[in-house]
Parts: sequence; C-alpha cells; structure tokens
Amino acid sequence: MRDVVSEQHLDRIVVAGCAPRTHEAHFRRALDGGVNPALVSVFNLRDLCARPHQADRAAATEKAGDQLAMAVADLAARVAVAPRTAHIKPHAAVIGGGIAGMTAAIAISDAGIPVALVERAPDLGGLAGRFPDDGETAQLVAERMSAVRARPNVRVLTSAQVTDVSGSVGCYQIALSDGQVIESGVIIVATGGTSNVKSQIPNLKSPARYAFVLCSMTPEKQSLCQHVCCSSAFRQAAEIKRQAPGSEVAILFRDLYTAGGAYDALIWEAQRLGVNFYRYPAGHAPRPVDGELLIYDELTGRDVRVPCDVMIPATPMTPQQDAAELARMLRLPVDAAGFLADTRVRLRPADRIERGIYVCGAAHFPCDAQRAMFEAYSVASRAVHHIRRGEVVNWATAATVDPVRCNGCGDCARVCPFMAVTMQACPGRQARVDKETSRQGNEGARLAVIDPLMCTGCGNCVSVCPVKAAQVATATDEQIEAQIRVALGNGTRRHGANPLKSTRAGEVRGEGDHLVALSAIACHLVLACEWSGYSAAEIAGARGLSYPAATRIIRLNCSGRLQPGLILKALEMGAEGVMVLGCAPGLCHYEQGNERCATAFEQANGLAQLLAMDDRLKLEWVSPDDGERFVQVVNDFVSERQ
Amino acid sequence: MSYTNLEQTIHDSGVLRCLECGKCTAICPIARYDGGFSPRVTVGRALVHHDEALLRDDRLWTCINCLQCNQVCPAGVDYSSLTTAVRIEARRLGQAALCTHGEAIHVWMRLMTQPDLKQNRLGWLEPNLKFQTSNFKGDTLYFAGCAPHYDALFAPLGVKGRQVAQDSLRALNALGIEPLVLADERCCGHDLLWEGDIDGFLALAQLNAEMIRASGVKRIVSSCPECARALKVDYPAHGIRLNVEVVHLSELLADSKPKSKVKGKVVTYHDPCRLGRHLGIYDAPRKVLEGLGYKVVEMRHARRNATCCGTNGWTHCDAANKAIQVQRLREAKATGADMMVTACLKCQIHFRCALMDEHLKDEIGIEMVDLATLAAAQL
Repeated sequence: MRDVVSEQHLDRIVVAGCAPRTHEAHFRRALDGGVNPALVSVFNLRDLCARPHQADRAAATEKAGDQLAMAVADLAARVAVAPRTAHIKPHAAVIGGGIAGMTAAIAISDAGIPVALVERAPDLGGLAGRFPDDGETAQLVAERMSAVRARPNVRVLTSAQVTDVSGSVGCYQIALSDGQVIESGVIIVATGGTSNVKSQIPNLKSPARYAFVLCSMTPEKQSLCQHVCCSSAFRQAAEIKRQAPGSEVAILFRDLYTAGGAYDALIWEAQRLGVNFYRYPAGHAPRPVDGELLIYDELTGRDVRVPCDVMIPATPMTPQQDAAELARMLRLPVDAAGFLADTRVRLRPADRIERGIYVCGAAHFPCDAQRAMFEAYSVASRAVHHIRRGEVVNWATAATVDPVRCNGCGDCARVCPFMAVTMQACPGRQARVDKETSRQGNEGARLAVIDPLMCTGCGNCVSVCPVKAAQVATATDEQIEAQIRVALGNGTRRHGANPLKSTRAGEVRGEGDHLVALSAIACHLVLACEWSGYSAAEIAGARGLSYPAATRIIRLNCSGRLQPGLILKALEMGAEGVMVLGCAPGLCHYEQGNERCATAFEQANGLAQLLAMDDRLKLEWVSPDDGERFVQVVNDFVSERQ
Repeated sequence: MSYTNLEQTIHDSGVLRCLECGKCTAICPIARYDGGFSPRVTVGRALVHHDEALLRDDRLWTCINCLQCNQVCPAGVDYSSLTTAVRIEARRLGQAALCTHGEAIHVWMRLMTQPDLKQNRLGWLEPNLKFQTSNFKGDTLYFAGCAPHYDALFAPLGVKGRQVAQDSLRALNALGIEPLVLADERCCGHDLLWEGDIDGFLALAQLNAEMIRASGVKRIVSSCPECARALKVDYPAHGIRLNVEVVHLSELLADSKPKSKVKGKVVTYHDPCRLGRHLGIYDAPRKVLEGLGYKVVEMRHARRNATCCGTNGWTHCDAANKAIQVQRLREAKATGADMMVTACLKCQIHFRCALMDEHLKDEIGIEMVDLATLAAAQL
C-alpha cells in the first residue's frame, strides 16, 4: 500500500474491509508519513454489506457501492489533521496543606520532583491538625509538617490563596493571592472538607444523659453515608464516659461504618465503657419527646425511649465553601453534594489525554486521615508517572471555534462534557477579525475558545452551536451531508418512491431484477454512533443476521454530534426514514453525548411533528454487542414505514 | 457575466441617487460593532456596477434589514431591497447563506413548500378558545404563523410561543372576534425571502394565497410583525395579491377597553423593526399598554430610532449581533422598567438568547413578555 501511495501520489485512502475499530488505527499507522491519519478510513464491507444481505446479491452489491461512495464523499470533504503534543513541566503544585496535601507532596518529592505546597491558612495541618488531643492523628500531622519543611525540593507557601489557574495540559500557571505564579505540570488538589466536629464535644461538669444521633441526614441525602461521623461519635462517647463515668451515653444509628483496624477498637472501647447502641430503621428518625428520644429499635423490634438531656447530631463533613469556585478554575466537575468529582472516563486513551490534575482526600469525599493518606499516595504515584512520561499526545481531532462566526452565546461551554471550552475576552485578535470584542460599547464580550488538548472531538459543541462557529474537522456538516446525499442516490431515491417489499429480509431477488429498479428504491438512513449502533450492526452482520438492504449506515463518533438541522435535511433530501442509534443512557463514551443527541432528536422531531413527518424519524439506544436488537429495531422501523 | 435582475434592482432601489454621504453606515447597528461591514461601500459597488464584488462579499449575509439606513438616507436609496436582490442573485449562482441553528428552520420552511403536505398545525388551540377551522362565515382570519411551533427549539430559553399564539387568539375572542384558523397554513416565507430563497418564498406565498382566497375572509390579523409585513407588503410586491386587509393584533387592540386595569407597573416597549420602521406602527402597541394601565417608559432609542433585536431571518449571528442585543437590553434595564414588552416573538427569542450569557446576565437581565400575553390577561 505504501508503494501505491507514493507512486500514485494518493492523499486519501478508503479501505473496504472489516471492523474500523480494530483496523483503522492499524492502517493509519502503516500509512503514516504517506497519508495523514485523518484521511484514512476503513469501511466494514464484510459485516455491513456482504454478510447481512447474502440472500439478495444485487441489493447487497448496490449497497456496497453506495456505502463506499459515501466513504469516499466523506474523505473528499475532510482536511488533514495533526495530533497535538504537550510537554509536561516536571514540577508539581499541591493545593492544600492538610494531611492529604502534605502526604502527596512528600511522596512526589521522594521521586525527585520539585513541589510547591500551597496552603491558604497561616499554618499547615488542615482539618486533621485541629485535633491535638487525638494522639495518633496529631503525630501523623506533626511528622508530615516537619518532613515537608525539611525537604529542599518542597516549597511551602502558607497564607497563599489560589486566585486563578490558566494554561493547559503540560503546564498550568497557578496565580496566588500574594502575587506569585507557580508553573506546574501537575496539580494535586487536596483542599479538604469542612467539619464542625470540634465544637460539639460537650463541656462536662457533671454526669448527664447524652444521645448521639447518627445517619440522620435530610431524607434526600439519607443514602449518603459520610464515613466519618461514626468514629467521631465513638471517640466522643468514650471520652464522656471517661470524664464523667456517671453519664448515660447512647449511640443511635442506622448503619455503622468503620475503616477497620484501630477504628474497630473504638467500638469495643465505647461498649466496654458502657455506651448503649440502638439501631433504628430508615424512615423512623428518632423523635424527641419530654426529655427522651423515641425510636423503634430494629434489633429488638420494639419502641424504645432513650433518656436524653443532650442530643448530639452526626457531624458530617461538607465541601469547602469555595469548592465550586476552585472547580471552575481547574475545570473539574462537582458532584451533587458539592465535592470535587472525578471525570468518569470511558474513552480509549488516545481520545482523552491525562490532564495532570488529581483530587485526593476530603476535597473528594468525606474521609478520615487514613483514607486521605491512602488517596494522597495513590494520586502522587499517578502524578509522578504522568511527569515521567515527558509529553502527551492527543490524536483526536479537536473541535475549533471560528472567532469570526462566534457570537459568544456560551452554549458550547455549557454542553462540553470535558470542560474544554472557556469563554474568553478577545480571543480572535487576528488580522482578519475586524469584530474586536473590545470595540467601544462592546467591552466585556466573550467568545468561546476550545482547549485543543482537552478536547476529545465528540462534537457536542458543534451540535449546539447556533452559528456554525464550532466545527470538528473530521465530522463537518459538509461531510455528513455529502454522505447523506450519496446514500440517497443524489436525489434519485425519494421518499415514497417504491415499496420496499422486494428487499425484505429473507426474500430472494430473482436474477432478472436489475440495478435500475433498485436505485430508485426509497431508502432508510441509519445514523449510528460507532460505540453502539455501528458496532451492533457489525455484530449483526458477522453473525449473518439479515435486515432490509435498502438501509444506508453513517458512522458518527458520537450521536451527540447530530443537530436537528442535519436530521431534517436527510428528510428533505428524500430519506424514507432516519434512524438515530446511540449508547444507552449513562453509557455514553463521551459522558453525555447521548443525552445531547436525545435533545437534538426531540427538537427535530418537534419540528417534524408539525409537518406530520415525525413517523419517519426514530431514536433508539443499542448496546454495542447486541446484533439481534440492531436487526430488530431496523426491521421494526422499516416495516412500520410500509 | 451580466446579472439582469440585479441591474434592474440597482435602478429601482435608487442606488444611482446615492450622494455618498455615508449616513447609512453611520447609523447601521452592525457597522457599529463590525468594522468590515458598510452599507455605503455596498451601495458604492452597486453604483459602479461592480457586481462580482457585490455577490462575493463575505458580509453578504450580515445585513439584518432593520431599515435604519433606508430611513436616514436623504436620497431615498432602498438599501433593503438592494440587499434582497443581491442575495437572490448570489443564491442563484450557488452561494449558500450562513444559516443559524444548523439550518433546521430553513429546512423546515422548505419542507412546507410541498403542496400535498398534511400538517398537524392546530395542536396549540386549546378548547376554551373560540375559533373556526372550516365552513367559515365570518370575515377575519387569524394567521398564527410559526410562533406556536418554535417552542420545539427554543423552550429551553424560556420562550413560550404557544402561549403567545393562544393569548393572541384569546385577546381576539375578548374583542368578540371568532376568527378562522387555517389547518394547512404555511410559513409566511418572510425569512426565505430575506435569505434570498425567492423560489421557496413564492411557493409558500402561493400556497397561503390560495387558501386565503378560498376562505373568503376580508381581514387577516397577525400577531407576528414578520407575517404581517410579508402578507401586506412582500406578497403584493411579488405579484401575489390577496385583496384583503392585513392588520397587526396591536392595531385591533389599541382602542379596546380592559375589564380591569393594572396598577403601578412600569414597562418599556421594544419596537420590532418589522412592526415599526417596516409597517409604521408605533402608537398602537403603546396605546394598548396604556389602556391596560401600564406606565410606558421609553428607552434611549425608541420608535423610529429603536435599535433592532440584533438578528433576523435565522441567518448570520456573530459577535456584532450579540453586541446589539446586549446594548438594547442595557437600554431597557436603564429605564428602570419592571419588564420589557415586545410584539414579536423573534425579538424575544433573540434577546433571551443574549440573556443566557453568564458573565452579563446580571447587567442586562430583565423580564420579557409579549404584548398579547399582557392584553389577554386584562381584556
């Protein structure tokens, strides 16, 4: 192939073979240097034409010809794309000087990498540092505080608040409140959580009756175990018993959680000291009545009155008040409770490169010192690995925004699953941009800018962009429209042109039928995400399952790339029906592309309803390995239309 | 290459009278933010018959037809019809307009040109509304337009087109009018014409005209300024005569007596270009509001000088268009009014889009409501 490419000066190659998912990368590698990887595509002739339509050779041949012409039309409208490379600066910034932050800083510094440890309080220590009477934790904190200060390659910056983070993968610039800017290849976020546990230890003068009520979060949060309240309650209960042995102490709980080891011992210690434990079921929160707490004891199956002068509620950890602000600066997602969340990654490594930003400790989830340290070691090892790689390469075709067209509506920034889009003032200071956003009267206007390193090319931004400013070079409207046009025989296959009966599954076409008749047959378009519908179609073909041959399939990297205009255009160009196949809810390869697709489809469907054309549109979720279901949804759709 | 139609339009639009004073560019809201766009330069090109430059202009789809330039021109040059003619010619030569929303709305309109289409157009009509759809004996047709159907795309912006249409009909009912509503009404074609798709426009216009003629109505009421302009001005200008009166809803409501009056509410009224400069209707909507008991305060640019909502015809909307929207919303906010009233759903769609800006929303945020909704609540 390389010889043919150089002899004939080929710049685009379509391979009519089998699964693109396994072979496209292979051919792209083999031809690298001769043909740009974005201009090599593989079409699965075997599983999408030959095998499923064996019974109707003429129709299978016609479909194969069309599908190849579609692949050619797609490539013809493409441009070459270069991968983006970023060098990783061998320096780490740790935000937060609590036990997690200090632990991570020590572990990274051990690997010989310089670290800046940023703490906004005047002293290191964080939340765990507030328990000087808890010997074990206090010792851990003290050890780490002296360790970080003793290391020459750890710079400790206290009373320093992060005010801004700029830059991208490889080198971030972290601006601090004291005016310093730290340049760093990785960022460890160890900003911790907040807890008011200290203020609740009762001031003991004389024995009294205490009741700790655990797991009594508001109903909607009841399922969220905080993991830290139990041990804190055991400690306090035991402390009360030690200081005022005449006290009655009860712990009311729904579930007990301890992280093993030393923590289990806390329960036995509390029990030994005479603390009573009562388990109440969900929906039966303890009710205070006349100096007693009324509960239904699940273990004995009876209502119990627990004597109580002082009720001490659970002491859950909450996110830092400014966690959302930090998340915005670092472009990290935030979970329902307000903690910094991990991006769930379902992508192959080539699509999404490691950002070099890691969250650990209570910034992430309520956790105790042990767990925070465990997470700190874990992210430190990932950070060191990332830095030692030296550079990252993103092969996905990144979306770009044309500043001339962009109006700054911000829709792309709202839908980007990877937070790769930021709204910036005056990004388009190029000679050809007259429309300076700084023009008088338009100060403060912002336009969208896509970080090419963080972008995975899913095309959700393209789908929502109202002005065609956002584009993915390997999945432009022109490419998809060109494929639709070819699939519909350049206008010869019109909606309602011919009944499809002769191409129904299982019916053998006679030798006398010829291609002229076929080419005027109305045709169904299948717009399929390559991670679900396209893959299921391949499986169906590989297993020899048959479905109507008057279907043409268009491969999309994500169904979220579709916008309503494209779906309606397919109808306008004469498609008998348009079926969109995407991943099942929650299983999108690009986080929420299928949800975006559902919205776009609903919009197209809403417009089509007015024209009574909505029965020609269909959206289905298909698993990548479910060939039977692919065949079933296609058969159902085609037969509904007849 | 010669462009016969273009030559004719250049003559008809009065380009040859141009005095090169530049007032058109000075007043153009787009040119204020986009230094590359100048109506005067375009007219200059037409003047010397530089047709290639006219047709290949990368700002060909930029003009929003707000008619400010026509209004100030001392020589009476009709820049708006020059632009339409150039676009029609450019499309004939194969240029594609820069359509917004992935061309969804244009495709939708083009699909409506099919004569044998069976539409579901009456879904927005609630049972408590009084109207007729067949065997009509009255004289008034309510031309609903596409407003009740835009919600499919723009509901997330808070647009309630369906409600605006319902309220318009409710207001008509309050005046004792039980209008005809066409089950197979098509898009009026305004946007296709403005985008240069003359064939699409004519197809839609003819389908509508046939239905209107067959219905025998004497008057058409529209709550959409664009529909009103198309039916009243553009249809006859393209040889499609309806021989019926076309009025905007606000003209009918101007003298109505409300059941109850609102007290202590201050509103500002945004003149839609199509209703104001295109059709000359400035007083009626204000009279409606005052009649309902609202105190109307004016924005810095009002009536003939009103700034446009920034974009038009689902074609082209860039940073300059957004800047116009933001400026207009700032003006509205500066009046201190409780809300901004529009009489055009599209103005509302465009403003609401600008309000989505997270960095500006506190500066420009203002409640927005359609005139018909306020009227229906009080009549």
